[in-house]
Amino acid sequence: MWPSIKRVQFAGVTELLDGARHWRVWHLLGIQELRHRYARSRLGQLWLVVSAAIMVGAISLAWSALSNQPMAELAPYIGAGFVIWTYFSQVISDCTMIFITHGNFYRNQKMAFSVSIYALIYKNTIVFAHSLIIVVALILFFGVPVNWYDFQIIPALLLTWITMLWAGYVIAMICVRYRDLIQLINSWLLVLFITSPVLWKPDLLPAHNRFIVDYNPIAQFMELLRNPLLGEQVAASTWLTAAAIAFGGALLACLLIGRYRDRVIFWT
Amino acid sequence: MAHISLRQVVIEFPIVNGSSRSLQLRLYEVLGGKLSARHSTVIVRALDGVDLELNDGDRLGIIGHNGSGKTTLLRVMAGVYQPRPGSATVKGSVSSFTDITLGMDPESSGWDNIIFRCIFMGLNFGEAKRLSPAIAEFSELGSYLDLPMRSYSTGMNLRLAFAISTSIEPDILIMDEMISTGDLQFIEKAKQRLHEIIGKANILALASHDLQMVKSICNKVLWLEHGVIKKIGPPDAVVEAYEGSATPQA
Repeated sequence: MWPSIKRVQFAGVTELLDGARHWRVWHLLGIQELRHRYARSRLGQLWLVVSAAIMVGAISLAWSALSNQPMAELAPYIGAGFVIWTYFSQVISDCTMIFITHGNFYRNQKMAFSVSIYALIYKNTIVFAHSLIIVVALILFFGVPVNWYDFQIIPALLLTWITMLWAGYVIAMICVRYRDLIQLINSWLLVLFITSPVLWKPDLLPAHNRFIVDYNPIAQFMELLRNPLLGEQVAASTWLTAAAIAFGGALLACLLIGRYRDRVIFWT
Repeated sequence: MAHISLRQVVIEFPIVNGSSRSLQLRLYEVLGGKLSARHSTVIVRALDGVDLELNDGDRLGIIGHNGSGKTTLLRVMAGVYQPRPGSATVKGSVSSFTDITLGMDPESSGWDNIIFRCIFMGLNFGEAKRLSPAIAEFSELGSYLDLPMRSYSTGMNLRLAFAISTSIEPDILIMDEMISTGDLQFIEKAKQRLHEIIGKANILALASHDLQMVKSICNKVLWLEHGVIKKIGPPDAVVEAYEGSATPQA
């Protein structure tokens, strides 16, 4: 019953890469969902920017009042952190339902399931890009340094996307099989939010609690994306961890995906 | 060259419900709990050892009662379900008409939807654009195409979906019942169009309850019952046997 590891691995890799070939389909699927969200509203896609502005504005105002820290220091940090957090958490939460909502699609046409994952990463990246306008505004307004470190965002995003692709597929696959996980993961997102350095800085943690950040992949990837935005260097250890998660995880995930890919349709 | 080869195909649907799906139960089970008595996934065997060989020129009609496995068989041929155990090899481009509205979006205009549907069927944007005028003309929707599709009637919706889906010529055509749509005059036109692409396809697989039509279109008929091939062969013989079995044995 168990096919050879090599064949399973190959099937998994094929499944993930095959989705990329259908970029036209996931482009349409991604755009379509955004279009639906803002259809018949007056501001249309401008809402992407406006809602980010409202969230970031409200949170940094409230937080700077609560923690008695100056806005100039807090706002860009929280702004960038919050926008990145929203990106991550939305991808995770979208993944939990995606194979269920797209089930009809796969029942009527043969296609790699990864198309759905590409579509949701694509959609959320568009949303992320729109919210970045707010982060840029904060950076310019509060005079955050703009320098060469900003360019680290390119490899950082690449590592993020690779991770989102395999992790998203695995989450989607497990959630379609074990439906209780949909609720479980969505409620754990709040815990992740609190334990990830979105509203607080890692150096505030006492040494014996550093593990909260060190062993939290979300925290690592937050640093990976936030530091470039704020014109700071990304630590070598963060690069290493992120790369290990992206590529090592992909290898392991491909085994799982290759093994169970053909069963997914029966679970939808 | 198109080719379909099914060998000892078995398709089983796990009917997973809340209790067997829950991770908690699964964990108990792994941990050695005794709850597994309640954990019984019902399995429906939709296809059971189906052998089938289709080559260029084959027009296969699939008949059988509701729940006999017709749609499942079509989906195996479309590559959607992978048999376990058994094997399915399909060579050639497949168009599956099990849902001809796949990829269409009610919030968008008819014109946009022509492009969307074409992309879902595997064309690129250039090809979709080139086909658009002909599709628009066939659909006879005129200026309605500028309006969002949610404003269409059901008939108009189907007409557009039909016009688009039948505008590409696949090697293998898979249909769950003949699509018939629209008013009398359109039905005639649609029939003609359908026969045209059926004629051009290398292989047709059509599941239908309309025995007369199956006899007129197909050169091979497969009678499914409870997922097993009851009879396969020339249309007249199989359809006759099927009709014979349907009469009440009083």
